[in-house]
Amino acid sequence: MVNLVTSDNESFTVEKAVASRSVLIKNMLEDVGESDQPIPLPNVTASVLKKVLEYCDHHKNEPMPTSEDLAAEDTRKRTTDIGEWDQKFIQVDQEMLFEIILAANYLDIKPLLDVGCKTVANMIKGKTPEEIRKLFNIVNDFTPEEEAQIKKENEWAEDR
Amino acid sequence: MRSSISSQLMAVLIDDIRRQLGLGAVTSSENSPVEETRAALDQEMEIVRLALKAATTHMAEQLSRLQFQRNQLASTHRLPIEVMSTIFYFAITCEGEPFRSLLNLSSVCRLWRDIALGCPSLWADLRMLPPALADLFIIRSKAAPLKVGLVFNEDAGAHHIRLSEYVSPVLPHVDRWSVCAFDFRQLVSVRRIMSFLRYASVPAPQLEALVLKRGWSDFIWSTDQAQTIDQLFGGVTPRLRAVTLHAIFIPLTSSIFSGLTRLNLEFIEYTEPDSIHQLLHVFERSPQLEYISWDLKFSFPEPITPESSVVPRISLAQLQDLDMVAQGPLQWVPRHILARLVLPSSCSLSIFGEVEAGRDLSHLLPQYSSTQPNLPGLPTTTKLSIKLEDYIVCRLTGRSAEMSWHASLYAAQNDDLLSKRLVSNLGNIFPMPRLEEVVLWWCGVEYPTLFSVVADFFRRHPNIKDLCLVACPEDFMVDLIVTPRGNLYPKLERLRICQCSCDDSVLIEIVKSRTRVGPDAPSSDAAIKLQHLSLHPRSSFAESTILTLREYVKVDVTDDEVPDDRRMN
Repeated sequence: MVNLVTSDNESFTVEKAVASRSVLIKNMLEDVGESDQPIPLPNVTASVLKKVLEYCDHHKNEPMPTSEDLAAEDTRKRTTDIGEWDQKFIQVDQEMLFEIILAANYLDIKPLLDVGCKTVANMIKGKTPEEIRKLFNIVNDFTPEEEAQIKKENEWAEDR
Repeated sequence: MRSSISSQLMAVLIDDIRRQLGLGAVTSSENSPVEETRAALDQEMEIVRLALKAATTHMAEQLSRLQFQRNQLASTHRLPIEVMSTIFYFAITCEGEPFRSLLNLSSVCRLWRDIALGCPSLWADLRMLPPALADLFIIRSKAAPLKVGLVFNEDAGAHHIRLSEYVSPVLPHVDRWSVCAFDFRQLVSVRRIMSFLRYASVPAPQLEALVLKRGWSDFIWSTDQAQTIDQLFGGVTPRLRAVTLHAIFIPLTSSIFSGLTRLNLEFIEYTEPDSIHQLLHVFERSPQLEYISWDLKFSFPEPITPESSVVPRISLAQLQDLDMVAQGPLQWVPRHILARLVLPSSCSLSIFGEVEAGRDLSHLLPQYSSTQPNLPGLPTTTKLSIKLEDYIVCRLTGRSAEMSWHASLYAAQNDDLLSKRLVSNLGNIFPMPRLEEVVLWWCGVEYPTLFSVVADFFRRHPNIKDLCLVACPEDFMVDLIVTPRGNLYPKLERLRICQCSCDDSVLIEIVKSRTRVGPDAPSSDAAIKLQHLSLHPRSSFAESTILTLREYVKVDVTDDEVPDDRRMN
């Protein structure tokens, strides 16, 4: 078993197979060897880690992506399809979604990072810039010159 | 008060601009007083205009800075740049017009625009790109490999992109092309396509995928129509792995047919007898092939093949899918080619085609050899679906844990014995010693002589544990009853009956006979008897019948869909 300690000082004791879905933790365990020492995760809060561990537990028996898989992914056409379980898992509020993405990136859990990125990509797809701004609470911060250039590009897009 | 401060600020600004321009008060000259006043006012107006512009620019910058700061609080702005670029990549990948999504993403805010501009590969997808954007995308893509492609369809009216306008900005960058995908939806003339292909005569060292399609599915490009283009991409495509040609002829001797992992050739007619050897040579030059699909015409008779023992075989150890269409007199093509190949046992096989009168699977598949099997996957079949669609159409689907095979065959002439001959083939052309599960679709065919060949097939496969009968006539169901004359399926444990017209009493008799213990038991092994019965649909049998059946076996009654012959349960 592995003991993980979050930024808000909460402890989680999990199976090694579950914790090792994180390449960061897996490498730490390999470097340290057998040890009872808790692993601090200063960038992850308890509520986010709980969610991340739920994902890791569900996928614990799946093969880890190899470097060959990751290289092949770049040459294949990537899709934004998300598995059924993963879709339900990632149905969280926007704040939690971004926290999960940040945690997956920090903990180096590529499949979870992909699920998060695909979810955000699917939220963006087919939306106008204004709709995207509204969705993520962003304001238009372009200068008039930048705005003029963008307008020109969009006119070219309609020029057939 | 506010107004006073604004006035003072504007006065300071105007003085500042006047100083910058080196202007003092308008001095007297030889002009009339009116002229002088007009000149002075013009000068003042210009200064105010400049002051206004300076103030507006300053305020706009100030506002933009504040907006930028506010955006730092947005959730998306907390994500690392590489994560955001991954999101962008996913967001544009599956869109029909990726350029439009990319322009939208780069129009949201400054950070998003900076991220997009900092990721050249996002700008490298030039497929369906309006020509007016080509230069912009090519510059922003820096050195990233380019994906070029167009669905060329003049029928699309005002929205169609002219081929020459699309091609001219991308052609100087052939050396950067990684994907070249052109789909000439309408019947563009051969001459026009040939001139397009000749444009692409310079080396394409980064090209990985080539897709060239012409016309709709019923259009065939015969070699007679073609002029030769041997030196497509100057013969230099070292990274080319996937080729799809649809009704576009490029000689099989071309260097593009080397080192491939995916090959898809459709609607091309080869008239030279040597073409079949050239196709085999393509396989030889691409030993890493993972996927092959062809729907070709060979307008010449089967070449004489030397004894198989002296012809070297081509091993395609990585092949996972082989799809073939064999029409009319071309039945020899799959047999001729398969006889030369050695495929891994995990390779899935699909044959679709016409079968001439008197012919069967033995004319489509090479002779099976247990010592030198070139299709080693077939004998590993554990599940089989036989779909007798009508008198002249038969679909066969086999599966094992590793692979699947599918044959969708129909009679070329009015040959109502085709299904009979194909079922007779099963287990004879190639053995299936591990066959345990069979789905049999009768589809309303009332053809008594089929009963005997189907029964023979089951006798040859005594290990069947799971049988699903779909739309089978009662005559056939009666054969399920264990009788002294025919002990079919001695190991049957599960029986599924879907949409079969069967009398309740016959069904009870079937179940009784298959659960009997004693000398006339279905199996000599007393432990093997029917355990599970599934009935579909619910309304087929009376409740009292189901209650009686439950005294003997576990019974499921369902209204779910019947099993698909391609996706067997």
